[in-house]
Amino acid sequence: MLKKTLFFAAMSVAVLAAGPSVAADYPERDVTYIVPFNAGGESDVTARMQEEPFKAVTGKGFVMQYKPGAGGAAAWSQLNGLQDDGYTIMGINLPHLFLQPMSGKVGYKTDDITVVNVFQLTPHALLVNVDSPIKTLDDYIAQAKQTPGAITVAGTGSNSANQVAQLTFDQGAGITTTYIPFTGTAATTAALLGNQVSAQWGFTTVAVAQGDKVRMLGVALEERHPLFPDVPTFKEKGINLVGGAHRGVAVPKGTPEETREAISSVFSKVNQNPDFQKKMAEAGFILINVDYAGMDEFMSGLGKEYTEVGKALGLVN
Amino acid sequence: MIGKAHTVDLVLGATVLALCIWMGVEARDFSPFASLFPTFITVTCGGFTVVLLTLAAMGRFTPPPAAMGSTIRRVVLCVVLAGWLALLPVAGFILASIPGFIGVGVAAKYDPWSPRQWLLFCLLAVASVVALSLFFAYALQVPLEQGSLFRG
Amino acid sequence: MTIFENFLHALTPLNLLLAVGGVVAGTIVGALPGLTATMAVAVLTPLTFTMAPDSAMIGLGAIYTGAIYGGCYSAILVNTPGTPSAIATTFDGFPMAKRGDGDLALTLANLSSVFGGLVGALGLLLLAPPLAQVALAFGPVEYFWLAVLGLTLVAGLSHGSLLKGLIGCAIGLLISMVGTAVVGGDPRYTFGSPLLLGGINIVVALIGLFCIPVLIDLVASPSAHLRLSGEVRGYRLREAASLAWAGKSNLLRSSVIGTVIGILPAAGGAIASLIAYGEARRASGKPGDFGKGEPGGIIASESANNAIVGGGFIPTLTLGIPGTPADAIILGALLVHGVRTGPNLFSDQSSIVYTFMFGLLLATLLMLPIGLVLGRYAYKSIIAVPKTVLAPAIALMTVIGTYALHNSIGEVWLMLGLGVLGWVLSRADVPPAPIVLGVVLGPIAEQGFVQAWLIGQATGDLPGMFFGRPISLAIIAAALLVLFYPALAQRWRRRRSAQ
Repeated sequence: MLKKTLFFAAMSVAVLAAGPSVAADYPERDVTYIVPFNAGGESDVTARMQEEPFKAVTGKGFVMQYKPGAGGAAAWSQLNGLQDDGYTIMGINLPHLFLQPMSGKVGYKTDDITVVNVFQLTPHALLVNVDSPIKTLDDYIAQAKQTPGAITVAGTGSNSANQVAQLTFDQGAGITTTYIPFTGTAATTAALLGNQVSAQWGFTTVAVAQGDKVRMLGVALEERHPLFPDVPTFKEKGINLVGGAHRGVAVPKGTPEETREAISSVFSKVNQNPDFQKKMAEAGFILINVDYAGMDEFMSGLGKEYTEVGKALGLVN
Repeated sequence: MIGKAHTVDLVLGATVLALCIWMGVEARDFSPFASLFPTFITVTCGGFTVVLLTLAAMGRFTPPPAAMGSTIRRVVLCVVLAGWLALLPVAGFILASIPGFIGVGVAAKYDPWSPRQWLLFCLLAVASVVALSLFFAYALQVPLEQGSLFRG
Repeated sequence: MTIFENFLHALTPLNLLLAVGGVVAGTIVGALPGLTATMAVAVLTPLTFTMAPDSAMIGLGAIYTGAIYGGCYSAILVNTPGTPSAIATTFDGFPMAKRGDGDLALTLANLSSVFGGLVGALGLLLLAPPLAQVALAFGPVEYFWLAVLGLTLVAGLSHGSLLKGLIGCAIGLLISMVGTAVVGGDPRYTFGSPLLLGGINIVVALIGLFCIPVLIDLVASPSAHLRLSGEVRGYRLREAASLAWAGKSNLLRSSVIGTVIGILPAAGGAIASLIAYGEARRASGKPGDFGKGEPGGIIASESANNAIVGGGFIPTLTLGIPGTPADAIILGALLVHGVRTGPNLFSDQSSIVYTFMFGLLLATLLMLPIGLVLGRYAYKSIIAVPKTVLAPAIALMTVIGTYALHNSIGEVWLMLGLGVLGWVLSRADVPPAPIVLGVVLGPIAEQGFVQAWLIGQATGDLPGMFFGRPISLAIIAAALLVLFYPALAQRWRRRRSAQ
């Protein structure tokens, strides 16, 4: 009995000792980071901000590549065909990975994508132009009830995070608004600033960037956002909209387990970098830490949520 | 006023009309807003092609100038380019582009060459392909295709 | 820092070096068919991360303006626009080169680009805040009608009949519909292929439809690609300058058009240069000469497309909303530098902004000597190089340039396929420009239309949405003018000669 225990103890020590040494070899050269959106967008900026702390941790940098198209689906559907030696990683966005396959044939299924780390959350935010007569969330709901469908709300993409936020909120508040999709956050924000639409379903990052040109009516967090203490959460108003868009990285299916863990741990370390944390917080992002070990649970939990959302909103065919 | 109906115009009209019809029918399966624009464009374009076919049949179009020069060389060029692209995933960028470069040069070659000129040309091909590939791979940080023959 | 100090700061050795280096690098990259200005900026951005923000911006701005200018080289010498904004330059630039006036065309393009760039940069420096409001006044409807205007213009300007031009536009629009619908998210005409899911990229269409037919015809005959008229002259600077002076109203008008349209986010250089070209043709009194090597065409197109650089920075710096895709990348670079871009950029970071604007002015001025020298090299090499080397060099550029976009061999095949299609269509007198414009403007037209429809329905005033807004009405009037002016003008002329 004692021998068995000792044996297993020795094995565990050996395994633990072997683990980090594999990770210590990775990466031996620059890593190709593929962004599934256009250069200059939020995913690109996040990746570029990650490069410095990545270099600090590993001594290697990124080779950036862009594969925009179909709201990210073009890149994700090609992910598993790429080299799986751990030197090709791809940014991923949630809920895109859940909603896109649900809404039709987009070239991949959610389970095809091997996510190794989710590091960032941008919470949903409902925004109006600062000149708008709508001053509070209650005003918004009241006006929507008065004239159903007349409030036009801009958002980025179809079957995207913004549209889900709009549909979930409308259901929760018992109102109807009209969603107007745009391509890219810039066009969406321009529409709001030019008063082409009444409101915008965006994220806290937009509010931070636009400063006092927009008014945030509500934010989709459990507690109020540190940069916006006067803005209520939707939960406070009785509407269960908590969440936003998540960002993470994925690797091609064939990447070996130890490499996946190595990549995941590097990105977790990047998230600990104080400069990086400061930059992210200032821009309105919220850093979260879901590493490879906790990924299955995280994804299946979110997956269930979004499947319910998708069904309830008629997105599932 | 009534002249000859030119085959080119008739073929153009018929092909584009067929394309519009097919795309228009496909558009019926799309969600309402996704089908709006395709329907509009295929109908309008179909209308244009009908007008085109009518005018062409009435001989209203002057013939476009005939393609001068050698058709064979044009075809050879297209075949060389296709072969080049087919070779890319297998042999990698540099090894596929060198024969591709040489092939296109041959398609454009009208004078006979001495062996020395051939040698110079091949060296130029190698130098140009390698130089440009290095420029893209290192200065512009665009990773080029390595080729399945060389990947582990 | 006072404004004067900012001006001096733009003249520090580092910033000067960046301005010069940026213009040189940008011009070379922009001249290669297959590498667009946006790509040049994207690829060279990481080099600037170690610099101070204002130096980085000067470098990137110089690269951008150089690349937009450089697009005229391949447009004039090889009939392939280096960037979409140089499409209108091919209309007259290539015919001029074919008849032996390529050096004149290049010098004239240089002068026009510098002038246009200066107008745009001055607009940025002096009028940014009010002009930014123009950007916001354009809503989905205006974009829709603007796309329609662009399409009618290019159809009307093409060599063949108007009908074939319209069919070319329609083919381009059909091509642009391949991919994922913006509203609804359906995959359309993709045959289940992940390659087509993202749609057919505009650069793939540009290279394919312009460059491959040129290549196909290049190998078909032994005669020289461009005629060299007589002995090699100098830069023909005086000649070009007098042409530019003769066309000064064209020059000024086109530069203003470029600045204003550059302000509209996502409108792009192609529309601006096209509108400027169309206007120049209409106002010239000799519309028949355009498209055959008329210098006024180059003046219009090149001054407009460089004015876009300055114009595009107006919403970028004033509102934090990028005017063009390259501006989006520059904004992103600023964010990485920790600069808060947004409405308060001018007030909070005025020294960075003013230093940058002076740097941009400087880079534009530097384009004059740098461009003349580079243009000379380009011209000499195209003239001197035999076809057996020119053809493969062009082929190599197209292959590597298309591949460099997204590392996709599938896209290179698409490019080749579209190229062969483009050649076949040109045999039927359907030129490539309307098709490519259709691909560029298709998404703008569709999104504008559907968004306007949705908003109009929601507000309950659909007809008013499409036909009731002042800016839209002005654009519609312009489009109708383009369509019917030639026929009307002909009738008036006949009536006058009959009297």
